[in-house]
Amino acid sequence: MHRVIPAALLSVLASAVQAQTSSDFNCNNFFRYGDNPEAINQAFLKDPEAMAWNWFVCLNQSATSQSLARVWEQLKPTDQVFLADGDKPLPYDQREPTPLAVIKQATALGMDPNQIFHNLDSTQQVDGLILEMGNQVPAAQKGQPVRFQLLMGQDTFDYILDKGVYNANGQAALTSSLSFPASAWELKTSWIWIGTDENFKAQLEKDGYYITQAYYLQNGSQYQVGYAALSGMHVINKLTPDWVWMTFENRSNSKYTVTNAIPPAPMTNTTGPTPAAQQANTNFQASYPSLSQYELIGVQYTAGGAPKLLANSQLESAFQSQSSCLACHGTAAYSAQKGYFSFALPEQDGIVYPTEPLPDSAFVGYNKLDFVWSLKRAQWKR
Amino acid sequence: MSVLNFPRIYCNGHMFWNPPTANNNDVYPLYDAVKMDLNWPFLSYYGITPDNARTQLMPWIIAPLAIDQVPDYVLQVPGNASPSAYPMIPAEWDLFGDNACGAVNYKDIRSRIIGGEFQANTYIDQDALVNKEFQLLGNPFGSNSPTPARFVDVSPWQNTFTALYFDKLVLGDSQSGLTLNREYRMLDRFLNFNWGALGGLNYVTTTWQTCFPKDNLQWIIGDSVLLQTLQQQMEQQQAQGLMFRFSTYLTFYDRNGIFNDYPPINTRSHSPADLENVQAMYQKGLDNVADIFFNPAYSRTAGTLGLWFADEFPTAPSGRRLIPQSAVPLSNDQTNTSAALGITSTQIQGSLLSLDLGNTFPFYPLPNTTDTVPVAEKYQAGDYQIGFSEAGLFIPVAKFGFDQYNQAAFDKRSGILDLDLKLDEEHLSKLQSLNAPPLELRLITGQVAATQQKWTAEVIESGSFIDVGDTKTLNIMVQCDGKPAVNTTLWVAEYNNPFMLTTSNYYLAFDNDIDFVLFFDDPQDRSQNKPSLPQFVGTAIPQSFATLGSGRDLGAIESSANTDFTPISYQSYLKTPAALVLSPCLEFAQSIAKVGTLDNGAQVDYNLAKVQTNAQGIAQVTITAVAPGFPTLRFFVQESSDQDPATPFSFNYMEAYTDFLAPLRVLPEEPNLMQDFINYWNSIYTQKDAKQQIWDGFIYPQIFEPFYYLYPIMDKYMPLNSLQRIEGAIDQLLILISKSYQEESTLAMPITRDLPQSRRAVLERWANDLVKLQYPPRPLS
Repeated sequence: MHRVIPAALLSVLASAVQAQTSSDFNCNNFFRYGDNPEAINQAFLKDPEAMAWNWFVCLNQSATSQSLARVWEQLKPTDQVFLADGDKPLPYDQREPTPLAVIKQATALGMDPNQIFHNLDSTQQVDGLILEMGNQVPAAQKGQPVRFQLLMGQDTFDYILDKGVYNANGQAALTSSLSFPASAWELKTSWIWIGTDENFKAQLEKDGYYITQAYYLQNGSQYQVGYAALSGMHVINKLTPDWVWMTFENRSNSKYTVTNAIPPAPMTNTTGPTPAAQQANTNFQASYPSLSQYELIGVQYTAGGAPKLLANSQLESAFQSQSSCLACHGTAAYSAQKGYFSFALPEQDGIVYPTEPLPDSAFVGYNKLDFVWSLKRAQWKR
Repeated sequence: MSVLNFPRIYCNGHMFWNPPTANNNDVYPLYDAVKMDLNWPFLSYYGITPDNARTQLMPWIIAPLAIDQVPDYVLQVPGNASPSAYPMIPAEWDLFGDNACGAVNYKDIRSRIIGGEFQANTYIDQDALVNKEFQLLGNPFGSNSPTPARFVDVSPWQNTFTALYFDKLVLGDSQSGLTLNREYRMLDRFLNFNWGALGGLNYVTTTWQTCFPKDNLQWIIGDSVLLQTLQQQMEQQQAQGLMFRFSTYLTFYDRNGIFNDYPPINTRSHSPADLENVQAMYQKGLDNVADIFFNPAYSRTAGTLGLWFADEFPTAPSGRRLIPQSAVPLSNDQTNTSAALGITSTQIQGSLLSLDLGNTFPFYPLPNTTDTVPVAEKYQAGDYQIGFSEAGLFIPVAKFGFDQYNQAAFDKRSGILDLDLKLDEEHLSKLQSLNAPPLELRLITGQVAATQQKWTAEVIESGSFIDVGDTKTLNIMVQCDGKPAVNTTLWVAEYNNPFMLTTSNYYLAFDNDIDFVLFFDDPQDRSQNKPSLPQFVGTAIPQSFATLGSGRDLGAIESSANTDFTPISYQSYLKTPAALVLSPCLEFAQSIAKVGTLDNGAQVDYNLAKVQTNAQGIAQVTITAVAPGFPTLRFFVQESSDQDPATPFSFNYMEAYTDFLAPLRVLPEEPNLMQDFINYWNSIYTQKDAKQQIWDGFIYPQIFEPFYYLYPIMDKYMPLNSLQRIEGAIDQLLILISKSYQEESTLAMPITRDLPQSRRAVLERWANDLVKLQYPPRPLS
């Protein structure tokens, strides 16, 4: 039997957000495109980068007047969807409780136990590598990995629940490909781990990072509790059939993250901001001071369309030159015999990643997962 | 022909070498590469066992060992007990090395194309290609950023042969350049340890060569006349492609901060303070991936790009080859000494004699440069004439002196010297004929310095990795006086090395339980220990040598004479953890059983293969791997129809640079491993932590653990002790460990190349059937 944390923290969905974020965009029920997806689609096609920023603004509004949390923090984290024991997850608006050990540590550290603690449960990017902290980080943080968390919207979650693919048993039983509803959303966030270093926290605040309370499990037994700074965010939704792929990151990331070269160099984004994103950044950063240090890198939504490459320096760090959100996620597929499709392609006696969609013939024997790679986190109910 | 033909493009610069040295230890038998495991019997001497290795081994690997902490059997191995080499850290000089190598372009230290020639003595140094860089690159690793080429000693304890893996050679840039895609990896040739006697490993030179078929070339001619001419001449002369040959020399260590941005370190010092510093730096790197650093070695290099013609060895110089006959006097401002010359490839074209002196004349580092960017100068080795003998008379055909082989001349043309033949028509015609007399290189005083090697044989597949049970056919290209040797009988013998450390001598593989003196031990001063090189009765006994130091500490070489030492037999040494059996690793398809008698009366049962070259001068020998190890094939030409060539029972590795040797690696077979894996999984698959159990109880200890200790650079990219990190990169791992990548991919380092097929099969089963399917709760069959 799962314990349920007080609903007060989680009761407000995006539909409750009333404020408008720009003169001509309404965040009301934006996860469902204000119930007028056609109009939103037209506006998106007219100016994808402006729409990306509008959504980013909506996502970063306060969830409620009582909470410090932002709207996106109310999305369901994948550790609460794909449970380690393969069990059915709690309903969308309910959460497994934050581990008691985390709350105890947090209290001892003077943190607010009533606010959200994000479980930053992963460190590996899809190429298998980590992103190291470095450059101007404190000595204790040098070499430590940037951490990640995946979250999903209600309609994404409901579809997963409905199809029973929240565990490996359900995925193995699939007889056809998945097709998420148009109102499916997912987020992937990246975090610079601060821990309890107040000076470092202040430094990152000065650089406009959004900072929150977080924890992770180290070596399978020891919880690390502290603060973390949001360095990057992928935002995707299925407004268009191949999904819309948007990515944002903080402009100061090169001060705190480094390449995996020896010796390391500051990590930079080599794919953007695209020219169109730069224009949108100028417009929106001036209007939203709390987001002014974040920039849109670009938007992808059409297979074969521009930009061909799109990456977040915090999430696709080492393989930016072969990173296409759409092409890579287009390989999301599962076979009960072969497991998940490998988008690491053996070419030229090396490894390359797809920057164009692979032909259907590559997926014979697989069920497509409709671009949703987070399904890879499903476990068996033994 | 070859690069000695025209046109040529010359390159000059520096190479870096970044090997992981814990698994490549010259002095301590830390790694049992035959079994692909840590040498636990050796490590138990230090209280390190499989049970406590997780906490005890790495601290031991980075801590200095004094000479009195080293077991006698380790110090007994000739060349391994130089007091000046201790204390010594088992990790040696580059714990975090990643096997990378390539040309250096760092600040004002550049590796560039420096010029070219369309015909003799018409040097071109003004061209769109000149002053642009050249580089060897590896295969792509999920990015458009270039990866480095890699190199690895075929055997961890036999650094006579090093394989260089690369994907492409790139000259120039997008405006004017040439990309040459790899067809053949390289193996070092003519590695001449004898020059170590002049002052250590700094003085050793080696030659590399590879060739590229036409279809592997991507030209961007731009405004380069050099490239345009090379392309035109490749077609007009009907060359089959291009050849790149380069030499590396003047190797120095601990250049951090000079050639790179890595932290300065002194691993050559044996002072307590320096050793403590090295240990501390290694510990920091082990504690935090951000503190991992490299400490590569650096060499000078000079290379030539030219034409590759039919019948030419792709990975070794062919044609007429001069090998040394006697030591020649050497001098510089500080010293007078002597040494034999190296190998010289030659070519006569028209009235032009071209000599490849890339590996011929010894050099020395200029003293005031050895702490920064070392600079070489050639020893003054006298004036020479080259010619041939006729009716007992030496007929000189050309002369040259120091000005033509000094460092400036060497740098300008990568060691190639073109000489006009001063001959009458009759002698010129004779020298150009198919039956040309063999060449000789003589000092002006008359001393014969080098003579033409009649036979040469090279194996394209040298350095291959094969598994026990596999059968492989090797192609042996045989030449006689530089021309394909048609219908020639070749005998093939297998040799092995007896020690799991240093670079040691070669002994014929034998089947029976014989004994002989392996070395002579001086318990009072083991630095004087000397190898024994027994021979079959009736065969010539090669000169015996003793070396001082090994690996990077290679020092002087002395003739042995003292017979008062304690003889240590092969069988008695075989009981030690540093010994290797000398029984065959290979079985010849055309095996011929032989028996020989050693001078101690021991009857040696051994096998040879007898093969015949075809019309192209190529012979094939088929081998089946029967036991793990590092066999080296040696070839003997049957020159007389009524007498088989002599097969020496042993020979000195110092001779290997002039001989016809083909090293191989046979990986072990573990026939029960897969069933053990299946049984293990089937015993735990229902349990909640089944994935952790199969990792902790099988996959990690059986496969990953030794690699985790020996390749700590992996901590940065894929920590081999982390289930989570490996699971998160399982698709990448599956590609990198694939059998097809073992032979050529530069990414197959460090694990794959060393991975026996039995372990690869288990890893693939684990990855595909368990990890990629999220450890389904069902048994494996």
